[in-house]
Amino acid sequence: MTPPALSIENLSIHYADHLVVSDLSLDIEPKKITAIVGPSGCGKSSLLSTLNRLSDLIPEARVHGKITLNGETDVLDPAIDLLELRRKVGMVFQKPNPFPLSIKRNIELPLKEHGVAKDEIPDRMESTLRQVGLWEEVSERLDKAAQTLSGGQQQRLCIARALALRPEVILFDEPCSALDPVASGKVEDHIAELREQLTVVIVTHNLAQARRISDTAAVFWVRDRVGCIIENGPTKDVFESPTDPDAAAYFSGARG
Amino acid sequence: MSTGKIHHTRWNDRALHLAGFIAAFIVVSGFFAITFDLIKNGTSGLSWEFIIGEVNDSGRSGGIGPVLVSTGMILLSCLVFALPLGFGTALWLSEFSAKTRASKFILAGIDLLASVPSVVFGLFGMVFFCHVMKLGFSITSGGLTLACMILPIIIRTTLIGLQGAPNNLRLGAAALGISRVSTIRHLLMPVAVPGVVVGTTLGISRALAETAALIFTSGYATRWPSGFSDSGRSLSVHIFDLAMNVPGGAARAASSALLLMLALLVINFTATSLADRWLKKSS
Repeated sequence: MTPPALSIENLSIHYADHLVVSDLSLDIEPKKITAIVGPSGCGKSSLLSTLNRLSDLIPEARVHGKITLNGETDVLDPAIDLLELRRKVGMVFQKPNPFPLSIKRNIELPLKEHGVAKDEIPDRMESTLRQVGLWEEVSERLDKAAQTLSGGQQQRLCIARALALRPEVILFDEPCSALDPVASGKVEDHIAELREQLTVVIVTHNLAQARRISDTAAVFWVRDRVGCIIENGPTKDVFESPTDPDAAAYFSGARG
Repeated sequence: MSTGKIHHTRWNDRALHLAGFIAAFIVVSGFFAITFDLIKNGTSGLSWEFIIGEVNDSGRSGGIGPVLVSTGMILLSCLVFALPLGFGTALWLSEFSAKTRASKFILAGIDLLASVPSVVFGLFGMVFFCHVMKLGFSITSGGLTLACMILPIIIRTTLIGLQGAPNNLRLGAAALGISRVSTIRHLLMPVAVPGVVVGTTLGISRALAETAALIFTSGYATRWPSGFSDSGRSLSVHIFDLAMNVPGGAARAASSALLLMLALLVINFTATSLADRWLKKSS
């Protein structure tokens, strides 16, 4: 049996003295799309940032517990090579954040940083830009500033930039919430296409979106002012027959 | 009038507009008065012999060649220390120190240093660089003293430049596994460079204008400097001396001051265009 892509055991996250998430356990299945839903402020994004150790950049954040990548790499080991971990576990943020460089340099810079051979770069750039449906739109103007792209195009560039590093897992932190409905739909389609290729974890406020694209889902909630998981399993079961009353109320629009 | 109130506001706006114009006019005319005065009194004394000639009769005749060379050497020894130390400190404060108690303490010290009068730097330089470090009255002592003086300017402006870089740039780079060094080199420096250029030119201007800190440290010898350990007179010290201690030196002081202003203009222009070229190349 293949081990989970990410295995989270008894995870707690503190910001200074405030306990954000407590004693949380979750297995992320490989090559599936896992959606994390729930109201604001219950620690969904905080959990996501521990999976690639971006939490290290928040000075007052402390993380306890165990996170294992592919059943072998101890993610929370202080001695781990963070640059390699973040290549394997990519991330796309809520607000599109292309670098203030050209479209080409946005993809080239991380590839060079990870030692990809120079003659291999153009191929990877084209294939990843095709994968997010951006190649036809930008192939004639790769030297133009990435900021000249529309919001949706910028977000797809950010996805391409992460995919070009050939990650094993990719984390999406509300990737569509800053986009208009048309751009949001396109980004969603490209995320859905990643199934079978790599492991996807997506935090979203959009329940309909989670239902459409995910294979498994976890519902976060706040109990005693601390974030926890109240419902977890195959997407169909979670949404159609939730066992937790708060989750059922949340899906029906009565709570959250 | 039925629209009295509206009329009243309009009058206020006009008064403010006029007051602002008058203030700006006074400032600009002050600048032009100084420049005009320097050009009127200084141009006739300018010649090739004046620029490269030796200082004779306390500056009443001959030129300012050795003074220009000393000024350049003082500035060079100042920047060699101030620029790497300043950039390094600003980088550490902005990117690596993470608002620890040590970084707050250092920042407070830097701001305190910025408000110290230059004559105090001169006294410190004389005691510390000339005597304790046994560098004597030398161009190096003067340059190091000036470096202490302009460090706060360079650190503060570089820091403002770096902190102007949005945080999602750093997060985005980290999430792609890009190292700190590459993040600084490729992503933060382009954002910070305009601030660095402003800080460096401000620092150079302040260093070139300085007299009090240099009289005690690099001295006022008018001979050609034999090296960085020799004493040497900077242009500002020379102008001060001509204007205050040498009867009949006023015209030569004006010529020297005109050269000083020209030098500042050239430095300012060079720094800005170098930065522009670097920015174009890196993007």
